[in-house]
Amino acid sequence: MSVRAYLVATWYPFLALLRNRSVVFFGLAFPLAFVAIFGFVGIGVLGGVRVGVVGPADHPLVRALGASPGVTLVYGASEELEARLRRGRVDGLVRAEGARVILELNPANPQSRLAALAVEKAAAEASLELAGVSNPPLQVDVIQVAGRYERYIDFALPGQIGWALLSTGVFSPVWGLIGLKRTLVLKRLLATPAPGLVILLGQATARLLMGVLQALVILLVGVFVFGFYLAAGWKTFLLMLLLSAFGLLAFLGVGFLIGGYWSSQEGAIPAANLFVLPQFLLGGTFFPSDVFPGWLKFVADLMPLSYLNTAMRLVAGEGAGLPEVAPYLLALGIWGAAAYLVAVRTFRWY
Amino acid sequence: MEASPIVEVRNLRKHFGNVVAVDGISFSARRGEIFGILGPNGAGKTTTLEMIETIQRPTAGEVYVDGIDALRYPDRVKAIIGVQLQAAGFYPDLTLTQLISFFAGLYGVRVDPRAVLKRFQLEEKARSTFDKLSGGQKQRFSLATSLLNRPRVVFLDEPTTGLDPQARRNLWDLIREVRAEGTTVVITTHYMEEAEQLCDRVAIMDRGRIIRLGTPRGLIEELLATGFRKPVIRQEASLEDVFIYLTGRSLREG
Repeated sequence: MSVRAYLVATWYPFLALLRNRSVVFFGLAFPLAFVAIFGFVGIGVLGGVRVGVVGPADHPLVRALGASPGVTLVYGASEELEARLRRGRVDGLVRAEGARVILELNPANPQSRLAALAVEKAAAEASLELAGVSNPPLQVDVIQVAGRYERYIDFALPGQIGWALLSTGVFSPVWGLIGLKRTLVLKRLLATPAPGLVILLGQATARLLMGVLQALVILLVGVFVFGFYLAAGWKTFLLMLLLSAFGLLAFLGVGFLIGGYWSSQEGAIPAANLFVLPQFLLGGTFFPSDVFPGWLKFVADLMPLSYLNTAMRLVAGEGAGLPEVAPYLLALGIWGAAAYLVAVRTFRWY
Repeated sequence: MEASPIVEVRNLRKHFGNVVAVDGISFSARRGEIFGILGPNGAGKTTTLEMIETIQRPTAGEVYVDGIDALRYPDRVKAIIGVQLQAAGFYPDLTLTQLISFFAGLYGVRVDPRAVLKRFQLEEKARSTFDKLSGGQKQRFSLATSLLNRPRVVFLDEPTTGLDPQARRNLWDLIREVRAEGTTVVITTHYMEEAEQLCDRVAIMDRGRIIRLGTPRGLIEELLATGFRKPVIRQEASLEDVFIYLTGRSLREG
């Protein structure tokens, strides 16, 4: 009897979630748009350096520079290219005339170091060639270490999934439960002989399924559309999905706490934002917590989203397995368990 | 010998902070009757029903449903009662068929959704979502879900509020059918005409107390006995009779 009650208490609320346009929109379209933006940003920014050239295209340095991987040459008039350099639209400006080559850089542009490196390397190659050295005594072979964050999306996607899970995990039950209270749906369910805990477990499971589905779609789009790098292939993929479910379970606890305690949005939405927004900024979605001063880093590292994001990046970027991320999952589990304990005690059905 | 009451309430109280919503009421509903609780808005009708339904916990007092102590065994009581709340109470995005299966699962019963909907003239709405129904259809559907577990008593909280005269009469017929099948009906309303037409006995509530209890006829006789006379010309028909005569009894639904 209770098993059937649990199954229907999960399945029909899940169907209702799928039929709710705003749930589907904010749960899928929104994070997907984020992923897409970061996917495209990654291609644009880290796709290479742009070097402006004033001078003949057959200048040996310009030829060597043009042949370097990751360098895009931009030809144009001197003043126009200078203006571009100031605005950061090119990362360096080369004036090549005979043996005298001038490289202008804009220190405000973080890419200028890469431009300088590319130009110096091209100059060295061109010099050797001009000196008739075809077999240089010193040779540097660059081997790229496989994997870590070659493109911005490889850093951004795990963070995007974490952020999407946090906002779904908290806001879906907050909006949902308060709506169900307002329309007396929860009260009507409470009037059935199915135990209250079974009804709430069904609500939580339905939202868990919805969130995992959401993570699955974001991951698939990341992998197939934007070529997101999976360190250990499909094992990484499955482990990321598992982490998603675990993180969501913890965040849902907070969502049920807030949406269960308050009966109107006036109190619940500020409370939910108070929990979510600091983590959005500090929880490692956009940059690692190493950039913060010590005390802030300490606070940031205690946040549940930080644990999830760290575990997610270990799995995604370095191919870590379950044992390596277990401590983070434990910390996340403590957050979740505490939330559920309080939620069960403070829940109100109407 | 009179049958034992299906619902028995003793000294029931409910306080919300300093506000006394229900102020120590006692009454009982007999098996097979339609028992009305009348009163203006805020009299405490809904709170009283929800305490019997075990949705709200009383501040003090006792409630027995079919002899079961409702405060000690709320789940056993929930299994033998039907509940219609004052408003909605259903997922707006699910179809009627889905909602019937949902509630059947929660009540632990097997039903054929089509047969249930047919009985309440909703078979054409099987694939509609709840929020697309008219007011009368919503109330019929709500009544249908409250009967899924073949309850011994159903509690209907202002089921006809906001309905047009045709839909109201249609619901009265359905409520009489439910009673004819042996289910006791406890209904709240603030329409006196409805109570007079439908109820075997009524309790009149005001400010959290029951101020009178009896049959509609008996209460009227009691009032007349005090010398009360209605200061109007005797009418052979009411405006509602005119309305029903002109527009017919059949249901109007989109």
